[in-house]
Amino acid sequence: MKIDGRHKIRTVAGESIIIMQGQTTVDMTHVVSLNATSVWLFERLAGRDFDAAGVASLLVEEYGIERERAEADAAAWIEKLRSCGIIVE
Amino acid sequence: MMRRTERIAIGLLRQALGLAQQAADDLVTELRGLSGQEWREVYRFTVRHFVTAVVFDAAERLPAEVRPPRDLLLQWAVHADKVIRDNERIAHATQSLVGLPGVQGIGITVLKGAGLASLYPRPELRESCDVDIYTGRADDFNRAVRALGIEVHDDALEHKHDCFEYCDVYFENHRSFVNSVPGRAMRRHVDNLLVGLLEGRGVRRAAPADVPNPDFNALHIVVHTAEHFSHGAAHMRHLCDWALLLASGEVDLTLLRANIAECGLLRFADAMTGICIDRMGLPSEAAGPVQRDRELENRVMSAIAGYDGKIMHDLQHKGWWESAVDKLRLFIDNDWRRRLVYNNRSFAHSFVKQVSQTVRYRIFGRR
Repeated sequence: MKIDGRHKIRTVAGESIIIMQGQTTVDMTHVVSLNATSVWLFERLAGRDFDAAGVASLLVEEYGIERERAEADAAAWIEKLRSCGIIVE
Repeated sequence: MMRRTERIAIGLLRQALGLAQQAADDLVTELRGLSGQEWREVYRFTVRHFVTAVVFDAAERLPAEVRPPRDLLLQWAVHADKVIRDNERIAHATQSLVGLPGVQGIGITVLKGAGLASLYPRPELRESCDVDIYTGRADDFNRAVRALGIEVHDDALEHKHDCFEYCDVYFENHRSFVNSVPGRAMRRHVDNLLVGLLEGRGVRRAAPADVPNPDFNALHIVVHTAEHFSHGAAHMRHLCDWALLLASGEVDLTLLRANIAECGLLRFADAMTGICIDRMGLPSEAAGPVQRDRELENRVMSAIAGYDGKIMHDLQHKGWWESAVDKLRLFIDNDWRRRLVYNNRSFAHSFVKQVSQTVRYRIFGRR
């Protein structure tokens, strides 16, 4: 999987967001708000292929958390961004 | 008298243009206690006046305690993002058009839009919805693009340009620059002045296409804004373009003033300039000589601030009779604007000219 290169993080009044513009004829625009960890993962993984295990390893390495918790957090992060179309296969 | 939310929107616009060291404290003071509803009115003002992305740039940099509510700020950010993406799409379409076989040998100059956007602190935030081009060889251009399968709507009799769509972008290929200046002789004279400036002083190389020189842009802005103002359609983006162009210091102000006088638009242009000095932060030394009339400037400012694009949009979607009655009412309401712009021509004179022009091109196909 990878992060769709069309999406960029914007900072609006201190908040990190990704704007998903809708089709021109359908108002499906929405905004995805990212916390600091999400932003950090996005920036580390942009432009490269990765898997859930790799995301978990990054979290363990950066935050010193237990592997089991890192895997759960990684799965949640991937699922959130995949459901928005930001992470693609 | 302008509403508080209009004053605030214009204050934010002034901040965003960066022409003067705004008394930021004054603006912050005025913003304290602004309700969510009032903030929405400020936002809607920017949308009506095609300056949403520009004003957002100032709004998001406000101190946290006076920023718009979060949900509005995010909505605003979405709108600004769309403006940026639309401009990218327009630039890509223009670059592609310029490179088309058969078109390459025909010089394309992009009017307004791209040329004026470069004056802004952040060019990508200046809102555009279509592309105005000038080739000087409209028939050759039409033949070239039609040969490539692009459908061109020859609308030269109704307006002053041919239209086509390319890469989902709407292009207007101008044969002339003037539409509603009363009197064919004057229209021709103003047009010749502009063509002379464009072809005589040349174009500037830019991406994605050439843009006019500043002297052409300056006169064109005045003529264009005056036309819009005369029928109630001038808005804040016109004033932003004017303020930024004068502030650039690239315009021959002596030549400009002479040209504006030849077009009979001095009084209106001076009102625009005065407004830009007082409201948009234009340094007075950059404006050159200007005859101030503050009462007139306030009236013009109120009129521009009160622009409601919805009226124009609604006219296009009404039945013939309803539309005719509304147009007559607007024509009467706009009489003072026409007198200002076109030097006190009487209502009867303007009305007869408008009707005869309409009859000429509806029935006889001539302007």
